[in-house]
Amino acid sequence: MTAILSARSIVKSFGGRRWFGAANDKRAVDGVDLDVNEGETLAIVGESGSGKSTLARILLGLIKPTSGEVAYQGRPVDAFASADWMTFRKAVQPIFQDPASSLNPRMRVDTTLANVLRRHKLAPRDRLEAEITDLLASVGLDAAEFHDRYPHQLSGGQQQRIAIARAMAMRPRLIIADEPLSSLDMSVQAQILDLLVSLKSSRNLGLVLISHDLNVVDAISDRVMVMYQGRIVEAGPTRQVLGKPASDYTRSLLAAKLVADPHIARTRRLAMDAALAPAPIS
Amino acid sequence: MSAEPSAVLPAPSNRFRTAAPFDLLRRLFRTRFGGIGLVILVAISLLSIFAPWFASSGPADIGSPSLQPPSWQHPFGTDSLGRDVRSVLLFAGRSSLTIGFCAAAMAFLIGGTVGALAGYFRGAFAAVLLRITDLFHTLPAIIIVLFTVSLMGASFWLQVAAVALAIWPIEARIVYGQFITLSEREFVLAARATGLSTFHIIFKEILPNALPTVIVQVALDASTAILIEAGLGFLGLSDPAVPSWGEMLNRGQEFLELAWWMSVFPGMAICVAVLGFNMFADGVTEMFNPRASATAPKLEG
Amino acid sequence: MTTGLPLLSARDVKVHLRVHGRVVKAVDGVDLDVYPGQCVGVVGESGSGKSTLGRAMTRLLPNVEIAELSGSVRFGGEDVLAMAPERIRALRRHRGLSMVFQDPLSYLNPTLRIERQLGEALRHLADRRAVREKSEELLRQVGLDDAARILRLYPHQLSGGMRQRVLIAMALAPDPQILVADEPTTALDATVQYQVIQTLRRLNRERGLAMLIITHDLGMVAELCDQVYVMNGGKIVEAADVFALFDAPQNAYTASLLAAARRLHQTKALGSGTGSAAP
Repeated sequence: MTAILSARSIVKSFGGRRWFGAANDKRAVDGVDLDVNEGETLAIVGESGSGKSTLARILLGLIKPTSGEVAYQGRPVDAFASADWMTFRKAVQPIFQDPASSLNPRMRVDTTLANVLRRHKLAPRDRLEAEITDLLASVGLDAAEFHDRYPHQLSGGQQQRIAIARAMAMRPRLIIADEPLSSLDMSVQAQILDLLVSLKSSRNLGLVLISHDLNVVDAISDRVMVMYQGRIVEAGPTRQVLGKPASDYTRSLLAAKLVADPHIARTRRLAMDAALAPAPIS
Repeated sequence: MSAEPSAVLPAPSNRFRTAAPFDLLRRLFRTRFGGIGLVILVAISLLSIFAPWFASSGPADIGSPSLQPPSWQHPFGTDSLGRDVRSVLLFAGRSSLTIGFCAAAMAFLIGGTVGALAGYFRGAFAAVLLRITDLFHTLPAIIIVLFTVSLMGASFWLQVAAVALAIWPIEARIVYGQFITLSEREFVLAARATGLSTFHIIFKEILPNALPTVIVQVALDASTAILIEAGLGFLGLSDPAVPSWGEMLNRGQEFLELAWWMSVFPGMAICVAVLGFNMFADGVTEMFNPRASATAPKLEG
Repeated sequence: MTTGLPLLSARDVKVHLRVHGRVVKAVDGVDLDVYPGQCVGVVGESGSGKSTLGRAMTRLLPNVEIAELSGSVRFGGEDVLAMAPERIRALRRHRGLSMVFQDPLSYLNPTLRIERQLGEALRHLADRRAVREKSEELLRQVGLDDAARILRLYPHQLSGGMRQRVLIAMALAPDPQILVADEPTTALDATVQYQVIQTLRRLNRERGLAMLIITHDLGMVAELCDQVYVMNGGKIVEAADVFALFDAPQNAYTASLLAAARRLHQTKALGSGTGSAAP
């Protein structure tokens, strides 16, 4: 099974060169390899400064890595002609963290979707409106109500649904989602998560989920990679990485996870206090 | 449980609420000075366009007795050539305002293109463009204008070009800043990721969002252009065949003691025009970015 | 813990705002009590009015047009909503209410060193040495042991978590009876968030500092709070002891929040050996 998308030795440094001496070596991504297979969900976990967002943009072909290679279906992206890029763009789509800023504030919902459909000739002129209606329906929105709205007239959850509709318009094979739930309220997070899961399974979509939220990662991903300061410190099947973490960093991430259950929170605190306390006095 | 829009306080990032033209007008009039600015601009534009109707005599009529103080017949007095100052003022307004608008428009076309290209494509290409911009920016406006005019003469359209040459770098910098920031925004990244063409991204995605800032800058450029033109005319470097406010100031200087009205009224006209543009610019700023405006009420806490 | 009189007592608080011509009932009749030494959580999603409630109770509403501001917030025998501005400022300076906000970078002056800013809050102390000692002590209380070094730094030289803890230290400077925190850890990484929450917990348990925590994060509430108020659409829809709330929510909205948390797997402790390095 060839990977849809693979990356080898990706390094990205920002900061340019100093006048004399070595290049300013602030590496946002420092030697990352990864593969994403058809229909699989790969989670990339990390905190701020881990380089996960930069990596996402490199995988999407939006930034060029300083060194290393990204390949789509085995072919290196560097060698792409413009026709290849169009194929790539249709196949690999993003969803960003802040839904409000991922939509053009001065563009209506239907215009945003129509632009994409027209660009890739996905629907003839007379079918455009119908196609938009279908797209909106597929993300749970009623076209009659939403088609002429501007982003500021939508809630966060609705905005993210539009962003998902835009991504799905091209029937991609892989979605790269950079913290798609973080800006949303909890109840909305659950809805969007369900939407992503159902779209994924109905179309055998691959998903690269970038998140700092271990709960969501545990809920939907097949494999996990943990990033820290530009490097991958641990990778493997989700059950293994989150269940029996090999690295200290992963363990500290797990330890820091808040649980929405006061009983578990209390038990954990007592366990920690006991571990820290000197020999029991009482 | 369906998600509903329920923001309690207006989100501060809602600057770009797109709306029908009348809604925009209404919002402009709700700002402190924007509406006044627009009214002033419309008024002086109409007065200039319809100058023949408002003036009591033609611009070249020298029939009246010269150097008469303001009177019922000549509300703004007459000048040294025996022309009715009020009439000349109206006709002069045509050229001064035309220079203002046209120079600003040209500055926008040149500066806007340079700034947009540099801001979107970046890299070495942008660096070259920016250095050229800086070069023009560091030369004082008046030097550029004087240089151009002395080289190529003072015909009207050359004046416009000279003024545009002096102010385009400011526009370029503003547009550059906008394009730099906007091209990092996620909707632009999404547009790139969905394969939309560069032309589409620059003109349909980024530019409409840069418009409020650009409009403000163009209005400010127009007011600067009028001031530069006034300076040119005052120095006697404008096209002598075409009356302008600056040229009127020039004529008036020798008669400052004898006939103050020859200088005061064109001076006031320039002030009003500049105020009009600046107030309009401030109003647009307040509409889209309340805290950046000089006159908008400030938020507390 | 709920013996005696409440430290802070809100009754029928209403904050109606005028936004673009419409009246928005941000807070619509809220009753709330915080007892001495208690940690109370106000939980709600965006738009629930919880932030507006917190700001109204500390008299820090932004300069938005207020259609109505009524009700009472009794603190130390006086009504905070009816107090004169000088009295409020006096309260903020000493033994009153302190507030901690969400985004530490906007509340710290980027051009002043930490010692200056902390010193501002300690103006009531006698001399420079007392201020310095107290500053170091405050920083240590919030878990910043390298106090002397940190005092000399500027805000941008600190990490997000350290900045937030400095803000908490500044809020502690006037020796408040109650600390009101609005999303105190939202902008922080998970590991840092956990540490800040533990710091708050220690302050609450060891110093007996009463707290009002405003948040959307059920995990924070489960970790920190004794009593929870659930807010929706400007009203309190449920108020209960934290265990009772999570075990047996009485209100449909609360139940839906908990269901969402469960759907997001927030109620599971991940893997074995969660919470300690020892397996």
